Amino acid sequence: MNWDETPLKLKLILYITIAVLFIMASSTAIIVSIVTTQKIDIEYSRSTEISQNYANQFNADMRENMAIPNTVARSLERYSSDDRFEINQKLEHILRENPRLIGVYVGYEPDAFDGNDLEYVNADYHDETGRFLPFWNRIGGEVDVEPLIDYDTEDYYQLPKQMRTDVVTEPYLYQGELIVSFVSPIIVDDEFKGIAGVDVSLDYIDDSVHDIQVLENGYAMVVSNSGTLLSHPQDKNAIGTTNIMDLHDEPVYMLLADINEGISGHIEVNDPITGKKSIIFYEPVDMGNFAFILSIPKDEMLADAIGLRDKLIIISTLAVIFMGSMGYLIALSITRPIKNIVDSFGKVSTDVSKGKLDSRADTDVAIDFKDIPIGLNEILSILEDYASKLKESNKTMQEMRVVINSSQVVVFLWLPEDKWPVEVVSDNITQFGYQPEEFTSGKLLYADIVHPEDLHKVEKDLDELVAQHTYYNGTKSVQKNKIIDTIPEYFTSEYRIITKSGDVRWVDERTLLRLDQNGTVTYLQGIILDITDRKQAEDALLNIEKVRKKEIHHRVKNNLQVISSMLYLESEHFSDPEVIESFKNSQNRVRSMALIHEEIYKSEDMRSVDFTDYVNKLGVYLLEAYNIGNGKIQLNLDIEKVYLSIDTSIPLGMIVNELVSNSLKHAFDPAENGQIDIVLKSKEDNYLLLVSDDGKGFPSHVDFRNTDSLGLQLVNTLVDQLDGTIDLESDDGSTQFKITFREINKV
Amino acid sequence: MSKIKVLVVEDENIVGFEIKKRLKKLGYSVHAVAKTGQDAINKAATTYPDIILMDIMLKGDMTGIEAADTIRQKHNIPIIYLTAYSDEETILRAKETNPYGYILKPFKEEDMKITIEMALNKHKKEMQETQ
Repeated sequence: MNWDETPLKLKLILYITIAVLFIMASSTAIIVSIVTTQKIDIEYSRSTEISQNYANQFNADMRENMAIPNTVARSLERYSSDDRFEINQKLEHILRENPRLIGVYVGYEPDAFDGNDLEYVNADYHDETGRFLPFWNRIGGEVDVEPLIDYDTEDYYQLPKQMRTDVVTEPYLYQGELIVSFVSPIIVDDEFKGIAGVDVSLDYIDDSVHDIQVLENGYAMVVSNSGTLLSHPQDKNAIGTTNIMDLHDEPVYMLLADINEGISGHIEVNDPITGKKSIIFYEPVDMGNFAFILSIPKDEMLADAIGLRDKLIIISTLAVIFMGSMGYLIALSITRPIKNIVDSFGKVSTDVSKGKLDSRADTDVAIDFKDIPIGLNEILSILEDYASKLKESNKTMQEMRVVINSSQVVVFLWLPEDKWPVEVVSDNITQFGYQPEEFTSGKLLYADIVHPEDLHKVEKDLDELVAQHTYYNGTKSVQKNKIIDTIPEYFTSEYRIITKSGDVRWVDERTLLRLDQNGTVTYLQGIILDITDRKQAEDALLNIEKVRKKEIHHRVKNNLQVISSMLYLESEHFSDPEVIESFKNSQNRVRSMALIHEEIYKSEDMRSVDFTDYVNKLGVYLLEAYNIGNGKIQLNLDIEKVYLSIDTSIPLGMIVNELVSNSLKHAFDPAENGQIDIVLKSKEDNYLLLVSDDGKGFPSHVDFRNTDSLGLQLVNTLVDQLDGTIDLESDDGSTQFKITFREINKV
Repeated sequence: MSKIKVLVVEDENIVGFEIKKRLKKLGYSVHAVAKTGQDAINKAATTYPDIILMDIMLKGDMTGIEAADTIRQKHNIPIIYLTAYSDEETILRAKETNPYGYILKPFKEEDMKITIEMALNKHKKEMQETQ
């Protein structure tokens, strides 16, 4: 099983159990190790102590045994009575007083006691040497005395003689009795005189050792330094006859070696007596050539430690089981609420996936986990709110889409790149014959449908606006907010596009520049609206307006013509040339005005007058009106091509009319040739009008500003109306009126 | 020799009256002054003028050019346009009706006389050529 897919509960149980198992196992191992070691040490110490106690006890016994011959020897060294009988009695007394003694004796060198050995040859308790050798004993059961034997060869006599120190012999069998002799030399004046000794039966050793039972099958025994058994827990016959080496294998040599060296210790062997693996503790007895042996079966000696170990293991196992159970319960207490929450979340998830956003997680969970479903429910509430708003927004968007697609407004999202690739376009682009996919697939770029004659202007205007935004957002960030206010956010333009079928339609584009954080234009979002009908209506209105103005001017001109006709008809009733002249002057004035209106309704804008054309016509008319059509008077025009408003043109035209009429009437004699010059020049907003002739000159006595001539009065009045100035330059050969003015209500 | 009969077509009566006066002064006979195109067509059919002076801009639905075109198709009468219009479009439209001359407003008696005489002369020649 994949670990990641392992349930949390199982993981927790495993973690807890493994952790507890590890801790308990290691701690148990350490405790068992420490406790067992301590216990074993204690057992060893206890066993060693038992051995030492027994050894000490035997040592004390041996010292006590040695004290008797030692005392006798010291007494005899100072003894001077030479009374063998007295000594005999004392020896008998000692034997009787000490029941554990088998024998008490002294043995003197030849003639060393009293010098009378010959006297005692073969006497009672003497041998053939007559030496003083009484050996009081109870070997036969009764207290008896007899001479010592084998004193020339046996250790009991020879060793003290040679070593001149107290000697304890190796245990030996004497008449079926295992005994050991404690012998002290009698030295007088540094001369060995003989020995004093006691024999002690070692049966008491076996008796006292035999009862020692250590634990269930442990036993004690005593061996001599040479290994002879001095006691045996089971086989009495082995005492004194069997060597410990005969019982054991090789390690026993070490034991004997240690005993001979006076070293205590223990060894581990398979004990043939108990048939068990045992620890043999050995403790040499100082006084005497033997050692105390304690054999304890190892399993019994360590039983407590092993029992303790087993108990600890059981406790540990139980602890592991208990902790494992606790782990299970803990895991359950953690995973159960989690599972409940997961189940609850699963239900919520299923509900939400089905669109049931009002579904809520169960909050009746453990206090530690309460915040989780509460948090989820809060998120769900927010989500539900958003979803509701989104739904509403989608509904609105859908409605908007329907509204847009059923309207003539086509919505676009363009990229601000060459030829404006289209990212999004509303479905109602079909009104121009195109499918949205043609644009969104990149097959068509927006520039492809813009009328070629308008494309350059649209590109230029849009590029300028984008550049302005990029510049001010990119490099003038400090003053951005201030400056950006002055830059239009929207691009608006009216231009023509070509429909799929090749028709030309006018559209009104309004586009918002969408900027990123750096102020770079990322998208162009806008609309286009088909305004062809409006454009046509505007054109029609313009035409109507044009026609209307034309009609008005035509009507005014006609009316002026009617007035002119009436003046002519009226003049027909008079014969006075002055009256007829006056009528003619008035007729000309009316005509000069009518000409203005004629010029206006001929003009494109219906507002301005082509003054060059006007003056030209006026001049021709005046020449004809005054019957000067035969070429005598030449009219020269130097009129700058200017268009003047009607408010300027009418007074100016009348001024020209009056001045030219004046020249035609007064400057030249009949049949005289001449020329009239009309010059009009402009400098900025100022104009200069010169009307001159090369006639006889203006009468010097006449003040042109203050004269009875109606014509000049009109000229002064009209110059004043133009806010202008008028000057006269005249001599005998010429007259020149110089008029400066500014245009009124400039077009 | 009887006077030349002139039909004047002018929607402004006073202007028409002035023309009539001037024509009479020049020795022509003016039997009628028509005010509209249709009036001109009718009067042309009833008064049999020798020549028609036709204002281009007339009140009513019909322009002088249209009226002249109709009259020309029905009657063999030379027609001279009276006009202040000198724009290209008007001249072109007028030319299509094959006029015998133009008299530009404001009138000048000498011009009127010359133009009328030239038109009559031209017409006379055409008639002779036709016969």
